[in-house]
Amino acid sequence: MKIFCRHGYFVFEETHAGQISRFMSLFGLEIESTGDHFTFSSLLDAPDYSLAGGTFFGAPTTEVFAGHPWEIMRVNDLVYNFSLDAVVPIQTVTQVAKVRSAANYFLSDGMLLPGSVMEDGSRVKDYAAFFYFDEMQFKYSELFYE
Amino acid sequence: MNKILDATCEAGIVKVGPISVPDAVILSEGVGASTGILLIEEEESRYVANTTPDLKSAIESTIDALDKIASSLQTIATTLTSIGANMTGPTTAPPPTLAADVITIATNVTAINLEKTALTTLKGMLK
Repeated sequence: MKIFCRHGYFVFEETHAGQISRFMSLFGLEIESTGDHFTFSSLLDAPDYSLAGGTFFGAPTTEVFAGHPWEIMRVNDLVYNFSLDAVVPIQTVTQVAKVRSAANYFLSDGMLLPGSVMEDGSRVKDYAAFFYFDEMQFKYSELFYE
Repeated sequence: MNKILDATCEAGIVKVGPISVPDAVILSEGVGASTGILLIEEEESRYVANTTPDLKSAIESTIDALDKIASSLQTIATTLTSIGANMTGPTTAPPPTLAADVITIATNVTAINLEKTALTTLKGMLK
């Protein structure tokens, strides 16, 4: 199963039928279909704009912007913290990202929390990952942090 | 991706509900209080006021002023006709309605000036 983290907004894609429900059962997560993709239930019906002084899923917004949810989260420095089931300012994420380099991908022990802090102090913003059910392993083909 | 939101503007400050959008470009005079829409395209935002009330008010004032002008000109024409009719004989007496006609014309001039003032005020308070 493919997992795309776009500045804290998640898109899930099945490579085989039934993977979403299996993934949900494994990790106790709620994922639903919206438009042309699957995402966390808490991110359904995301606003398509933000105002300075407004909110986005309860998190404070600082910029006037109209666009996709992940673009709004990017300009407002927000990410979805699936551990807390809440959209939060990226600066509030304190979890340390533990990533290992493998052949031509990266590995982590669990799904990386957007905004988590790398060794050099930068923060995880975007990634593309595969989850392998047989290995119970997240493998990251792309990982962007800044 | 674009977004259109209902908005208001007063004294150059655009608001969406209670939230100010200070960087919005106002595509009108923006002096008078107005309702309108805020167009957001990525990080750019533009406010478009509903200027129909301004236009309606200006048209109504103009129509009122033209009515007064037409009425005055009609009164003048009627009076001149009466004066002309009296010029066929030895009498120099003015037509009996002259005083009332002059009052009507003066009243209309006052009303026209009030409409002019209203239009001048509107010009300075355009939405």
